[in-house]
Amino acid sequence: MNGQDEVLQQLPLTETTFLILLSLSSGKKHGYWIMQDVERLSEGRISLGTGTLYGALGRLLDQGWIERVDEGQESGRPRKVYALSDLGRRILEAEAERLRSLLSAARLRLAEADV
Amino acid sequence: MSKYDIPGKEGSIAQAARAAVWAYAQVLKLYPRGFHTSFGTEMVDVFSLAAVDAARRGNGPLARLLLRELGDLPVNIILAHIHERRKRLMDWIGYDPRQDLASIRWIARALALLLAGLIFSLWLFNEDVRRAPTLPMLVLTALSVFMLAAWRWEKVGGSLTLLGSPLCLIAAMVMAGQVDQANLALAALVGLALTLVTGLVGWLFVSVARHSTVAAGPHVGREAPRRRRYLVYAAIVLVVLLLLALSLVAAPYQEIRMEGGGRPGTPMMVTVEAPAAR
Repeated sequence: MNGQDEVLQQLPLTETTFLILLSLSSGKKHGYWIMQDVERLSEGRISLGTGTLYGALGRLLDQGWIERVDEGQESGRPRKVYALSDLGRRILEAEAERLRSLLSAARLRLAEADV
Repeated sequence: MSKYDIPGKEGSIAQAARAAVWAYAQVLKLYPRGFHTSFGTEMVDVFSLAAVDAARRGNGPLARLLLRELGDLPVNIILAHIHERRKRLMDWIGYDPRQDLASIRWIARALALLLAGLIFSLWLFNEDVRRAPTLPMLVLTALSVFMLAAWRWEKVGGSLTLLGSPLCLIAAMVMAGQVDQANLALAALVGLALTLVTGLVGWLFVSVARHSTVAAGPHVGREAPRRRRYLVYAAIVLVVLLLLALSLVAAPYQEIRMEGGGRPGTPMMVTVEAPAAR
C-alpha cells in the first residue's frame, strides 16, 4: 500500500475533525482559538464543547495528525498550542479534494436538472 | 482584579461565571488521570475564557454555554475512560499496530483463512450442517466472504466481520434447535467460540486499517515487544487447542442416529453410542 492509499483510507473525515484540521491549517493555535475558529468556519452550526474539543485533540495527537507545541508561559502556566503535522496536512488536502470533486459533481447534476 | 473578573459585571453574573469555572474544574477530576494530567489545566483555561466571554454578553449566553458543557462532558468523560482502558490493555499486552503492522495484518489474514476454511469444510463434509436451515448457513457463508474480502478491503471487510460475529452464536443455536436439539449446549459453545474468533479477526482487520496511515509515522522500525509476540503465539495455540477440544467433545455425538428422517420439526428418537460402547 503506498502513502497516498494510506491517506485515502482515512477518508472521509468527520465534520469536527475536518474543521479542527482546517482551523490549524493557517497556523498554530491554542484550544480556545480553535473553538472559536471552528464556530466561524462552520458559520455557527458547530459549537464545540471543551470535552469534545480536547477528546478530538487527544485522538489527533495519538494518530500523529497534529503536534502539541510548548509556547513559553502565560500567567505562570505553560502555554500549549497545536499545529498541523505533515501527515495531517496531507489528509486535510485529500479530504478537501474529495469534497471539491463531490461539490463539482453535485453542481453539474443540479445545473443539468435546472435546464 | 483576577484573570477571570469581568469589567462592568462585578455582580451576580461574574459570581456565576466564577462558580461555574470552579465546578467545571471539579468535574474534570472525573476524567482518567492521564487525560486530566495532559489536558486538565488547559481545559479549565479554555472554559474560563469561554465563560468570561459568555458572561460579558449576558445571562443567556452564559446559560447556553453551561448547558452545552453539561451535555458535552458526561459523554466525553465516559469515552475518555473507555479509550484510556483500551489503551492501557493494549499497552499491557504490547499490542501496537503502529510498530509491527505487517505481522498483525498477516495474523488476521491467517485466522480469516482458517475460519473461512473451517466454515466451508463444515458445509461441504458435514451432513447435519448441510441439512441445516438456510438462514444460519447464509450467515456463516456471508461471514466467511466478509473475512476473505477483508484481505483486500480491510476496513469494510473487518467492520462487517466484527459486526456480524455475534450472528455465529445465533446461527449455531438455530441450527441446533432445528437439526439436533440434543446438543444445544455444545452448539452454544461452538457458536460462542466462533463469535469470539470471528470478532477477533474483524477487530484485527479494522485495527490494522485504522493504523495503516500512522504506520508511516515515527513509530515504524522499533522492535516489537517480546511479550506481544508470545501472546500472539499463545493465541494461535489456544485457537488450535480449542478446535481440537471441540472435536473431542463432539466425537461421542458423531454416532447420533435420527429416526423419522431427521427433518426439522419431525419427532425423532435419538440414540447416542459413546465411543466406549462401540
